[in-house]
Amino acid sequence: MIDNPKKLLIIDDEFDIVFYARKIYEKKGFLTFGADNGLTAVEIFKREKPDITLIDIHMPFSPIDGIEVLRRIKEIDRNAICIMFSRVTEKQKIEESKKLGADGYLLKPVDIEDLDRIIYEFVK
Amino acid sequence: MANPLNNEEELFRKIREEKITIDRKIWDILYNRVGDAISAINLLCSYYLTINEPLPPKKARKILKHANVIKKVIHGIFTTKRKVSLFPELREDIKLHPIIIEIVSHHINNDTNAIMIISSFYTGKDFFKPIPIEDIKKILDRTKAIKDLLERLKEATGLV
Repeated sequence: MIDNPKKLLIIDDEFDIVFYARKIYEKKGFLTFGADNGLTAVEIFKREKPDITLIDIHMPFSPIDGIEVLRRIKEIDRNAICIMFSRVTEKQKIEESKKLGADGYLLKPVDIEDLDRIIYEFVK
Repeated sequence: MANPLNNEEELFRKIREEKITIDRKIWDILYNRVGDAISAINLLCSYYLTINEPLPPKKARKILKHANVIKKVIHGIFTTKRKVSLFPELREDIKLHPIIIEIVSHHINNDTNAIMIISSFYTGKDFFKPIPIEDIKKILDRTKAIKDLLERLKEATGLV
C-alpha cells in the first residue's frame, strides 16, 4: 500500500465506467471513490476532498448534470482539480465548464492513455 | 447498454414524423465503419463465450484497436475540421440534424467508452490478465447495443 495515496473521484452515470475506472486507478495506487449521480458526488467530494475529480458532463440519469456538479464543487473549493468528460458535440458545455474553472477535459470515448496523461499531469 | 436519454422515445418519434434523415455519405461511414468494428469485437467475444474461456489480454488489445476506430469515426463525423481530412468523401458543409447528433453521440460514445474502459483494465501493465466470461458478456452487450441503435436509426430515418 502506498503511503498517502492520491484520492480520485470518478463521476459518471454509467455504472460500468465508474466501476472499471476505479479498478484501473486502484491498481495504479490511487484511493478511488465513485458516484453515478451528481448529488452523491458532491457529498463524496465534501467528505473525501479528492485530489482529482473526473466529471461526466452529460448524465441523463442524474438529478444534476456535470456542469452543475462542477459549479458546486468549485463553490466548495475553487482550487479543486476537475477534469471533464465530454462528447465531441458539446462545445458549448466545454466552454461553460472552462469558465467555471474546469482544469481539463477529455472527449468520450475516453482512451486510458489520454486519461493517464491528464491525471498524472496533476499528480506530479 | 448506455442509459437511454430522458426524452429518447420523443426524439425517435420526431425523427419519424418530421422525416429527419442522415446524409447518405455520413450514414455509409457510420453504418459501415462502426458496423465493421463492432462486428469484429462481437465475433471475438462470441468466440470466447462459445468455447467458454476467458479472453486473453492480447486479444483484448484488438478490442481496443477496433474501439479506437469507432472513436475516430464518431469524432470525425462530428468535427467539421477533421471531417474532410479523415473522410475525403465528405464535404465540410454536410450537416447532421441536432436530434441525430444527440442520439448517436450519446449512445455510441457511452457504449464505446464502456468497451474501452473494461478492455483497458485487463490490458494495462498493472493488471495484464484474461477478460473473464462475465466481462466478455458486458462487452458483447455494448456491441449489441450499438448495433441495435444503428438498426433503430436506419428504420426511423428510412435509410435502407
